[in-house]
Amino acid sequence: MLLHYIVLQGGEAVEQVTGHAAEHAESGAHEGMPHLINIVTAIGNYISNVLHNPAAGETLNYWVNVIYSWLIMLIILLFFALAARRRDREPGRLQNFVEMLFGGLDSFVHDVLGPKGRTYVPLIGTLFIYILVMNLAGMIPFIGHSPSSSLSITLSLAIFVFITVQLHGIRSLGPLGYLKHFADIPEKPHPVQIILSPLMFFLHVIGELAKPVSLSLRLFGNITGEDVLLAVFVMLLAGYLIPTQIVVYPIVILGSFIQALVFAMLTTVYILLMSPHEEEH
Amino acid sequence: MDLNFGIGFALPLALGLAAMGGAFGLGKAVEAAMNAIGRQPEASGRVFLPFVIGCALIEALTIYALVAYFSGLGAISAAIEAGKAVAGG
Repeated sequence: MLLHYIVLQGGEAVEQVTGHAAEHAESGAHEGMPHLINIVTAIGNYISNVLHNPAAGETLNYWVNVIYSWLIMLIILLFFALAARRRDREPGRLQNFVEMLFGGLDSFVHDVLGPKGRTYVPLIGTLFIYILVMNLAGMIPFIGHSPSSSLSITLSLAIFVFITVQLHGIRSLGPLGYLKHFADIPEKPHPVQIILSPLMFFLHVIGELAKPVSLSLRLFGNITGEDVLLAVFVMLLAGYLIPTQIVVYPIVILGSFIQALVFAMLTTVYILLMSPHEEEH
Repeated sequence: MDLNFGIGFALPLALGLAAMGGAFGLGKAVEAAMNAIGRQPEASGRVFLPFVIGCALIEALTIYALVAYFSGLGAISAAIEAGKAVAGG
């Protein structure tokens, strides 16, 4: 019976174990795709089916992404609080690692955004580390569910980035300059550019709205793909208790790392695109 | 030829085509990056960032097709459930 708990596939695995017809409130995109069982979902199903309290069980399953992202937040906070406790002149391994990480992020943001980019280093760093740990959470044996494989989490991150970029635009370009940036009107406008500016405005707005959509869908699709890949590989030899998913660990780690990096880099580039760039002309 | 046949034929084909287009685009991007690094090996650090951003943007289009594939699968299973409800109930 333990083996039936290894993979949860739609409602069928729960039916085999408990014999009840479990009602699953899942989003349409996740039907028919295997997912790894994780602690919170297992507890939720236990409450629904064995303790006969479907309302409480479904509520727990509904909030699983929020629970996991808060758990990851707390783990990251603890890790960095521990690392920052002692500031030795000759750092130990933990402090050295954290300093390397911070140095890399700092130099990257400086390269792209220039000296004024200092204010955005915490934001980019947090996004990168948070998304990286969220992506990697799918690999941990009984936390087999990455919060970033849910469109809600990625969309909220993308909307947050969108609001940050627009506020940066308004603050650094001024409200009038912000609107001019959307209408693509340079300093000395040719009359044709002024005539075309409503069209350019419309196109630019569409382009700006496409950014959070693409950010969220990219992260969501990639991490869902990784989770499903892990589940499929677990299903291969789970009956013989052989952890076949180790074979895909390199792909999953690389993919998670790249997606976190791409999210952070694209945020930096969007902030750069919204900054005044008079030096180019 | 009914709905299930149509969706079952079109979804994997669409995903495959999207992956093919993405592979071509990424191949060109990697070729350009290799050429740049080959011409000037010390520029590899500066080439890396635009290269990765470009690859991510190209990859995103293939991922949109994957997301549409999952949504299509959801539509199939919803249609099958509805069909069963009409036929059985």
